[in-house]
Amino acid sequence: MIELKGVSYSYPNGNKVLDNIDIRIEKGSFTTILGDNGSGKSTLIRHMNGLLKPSQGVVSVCGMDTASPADIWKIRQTVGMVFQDPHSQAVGATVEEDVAFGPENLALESDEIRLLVTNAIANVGLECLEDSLLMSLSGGQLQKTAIAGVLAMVSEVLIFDEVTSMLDSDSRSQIIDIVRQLNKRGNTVVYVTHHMEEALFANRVIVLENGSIASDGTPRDVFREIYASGRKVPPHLELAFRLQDAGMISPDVFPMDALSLKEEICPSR
Amino acid sequence: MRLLEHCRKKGADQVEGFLFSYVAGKSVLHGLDPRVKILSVMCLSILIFRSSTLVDLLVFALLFVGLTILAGSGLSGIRSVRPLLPIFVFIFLIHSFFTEGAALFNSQFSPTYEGFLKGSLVTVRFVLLILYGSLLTSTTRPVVITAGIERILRPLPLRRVGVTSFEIATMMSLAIYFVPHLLWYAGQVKDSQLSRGSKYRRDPISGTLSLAIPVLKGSMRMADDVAMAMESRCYQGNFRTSLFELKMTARDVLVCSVVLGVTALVLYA
Repeated sequence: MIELKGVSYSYPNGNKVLDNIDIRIEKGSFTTILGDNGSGKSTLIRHMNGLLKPSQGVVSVCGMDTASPADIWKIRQTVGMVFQDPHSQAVGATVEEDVAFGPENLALESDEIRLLVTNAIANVGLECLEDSLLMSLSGGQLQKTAIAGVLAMVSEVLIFDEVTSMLDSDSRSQIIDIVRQLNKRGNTVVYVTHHMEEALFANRVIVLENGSIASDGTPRDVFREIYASGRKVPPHLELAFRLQDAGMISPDVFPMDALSLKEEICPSR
Repeated sequence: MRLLEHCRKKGADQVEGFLFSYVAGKSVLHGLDPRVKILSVMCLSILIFRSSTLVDLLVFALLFVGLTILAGSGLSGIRSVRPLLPIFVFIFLIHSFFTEGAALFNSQFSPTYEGFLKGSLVTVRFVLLILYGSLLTSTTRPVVITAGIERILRPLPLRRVGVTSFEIATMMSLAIYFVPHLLWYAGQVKDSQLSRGSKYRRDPISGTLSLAIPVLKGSMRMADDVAMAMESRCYQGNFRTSLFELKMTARDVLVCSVVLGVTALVLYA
């Protein structure tokens, strides 16, 4: 679906942000990109829909090269991106108008746009706010509007760039639920975060460090590796790994949260 | 539950904001094509500025009352005049005191009779302009006004000056969201400076200067982010379709003809 081969990227001031990255994102997968601030996560995903062009290497989406101007609009339709700041990606006055922005750019007929907008707004649960001014919405509602805006373009791949970092915990879990639902419905998801808990839901985790891939594998393998290197992992995982090391629970156990770990240790009847 | 309350408050039948105050309805005015309404407001503005007596303006005032009753939009128009009251008072006073003529009072600095009449005439003209403008915005959704302006501008050779009607419409949509957002952002920066000991209240001039730089910097960054979000949603600016397809009905053509005919009659008869 998306393939990066030997991708390096330097900013005009010579600062090298990505160094020889090789990644292949499979159709229908849920990939999380983890990394500290400044590790190159946002720069990496901006290569995936052609917002940035690599200094070296090749990025292709469904066989189309992102460096080819002829394919760039098809690539951007295929790979939709939701950004971190909910306020800085709004382009319409109302929810409906903002969601319609993408399909309008694709020059679709108004009936078709209406259908796409209605479905996209329903998918994120904002039906009763479709005529509301964006200025009157909360951060979570704005972020849902941004997701609906990408869904209305019928993008196959959805990239989420730290979409929960400016939200409260309720909005955060709602957004994560929406992302998981979208993946279950068949969308390929690339989810960028620095919250380790959010990486557990993926089927693949890539850890970036200083512009290079430090780890790449299933969440179980990657978090084991992080734990083994002495770095922090979510508390319930740390407890699970300690119990596994002490032979008290099966090494196959990989709990998503504290409640599932509790179920492993003392199952409720 | 909170979401439902929010829906009831902000819901689908009212769009209130810094620039617009749309009140939903099914009146004849609501149903008219936005191009007809924009054209009518333009014609009325010309006629109002051509009126030379208060009796002429009284006719326009009565017409406004009639149209407001027809639209069923209540007092939203009158509310829109309130923030501009100081400007109207200023205009009235300037004309009253600085127009040559017979003094109204036996004092060295007195308003003149001619000034009083001229001030009243000019002020009523401005009030009527605002009222008719607010009648347009209270019976037309912001996005539909934008679409109407875009369609009016489309035949003009704007490309020769390096801009398209689509770009102008997009700029208007962006302004509806970003003007209030920038005001909110400036308020945040001001609060943060006050909390760190800024002497904004004691020295407003240097306070405003120290506010301007971070606000300008923040708005530049925001503009960059919005441009990236728009690009990732396939915005090219040279052609787009619209969610709101505008279609002229027989009623629209009739109203348009009447408005143009009456305007021509008054101007050239």
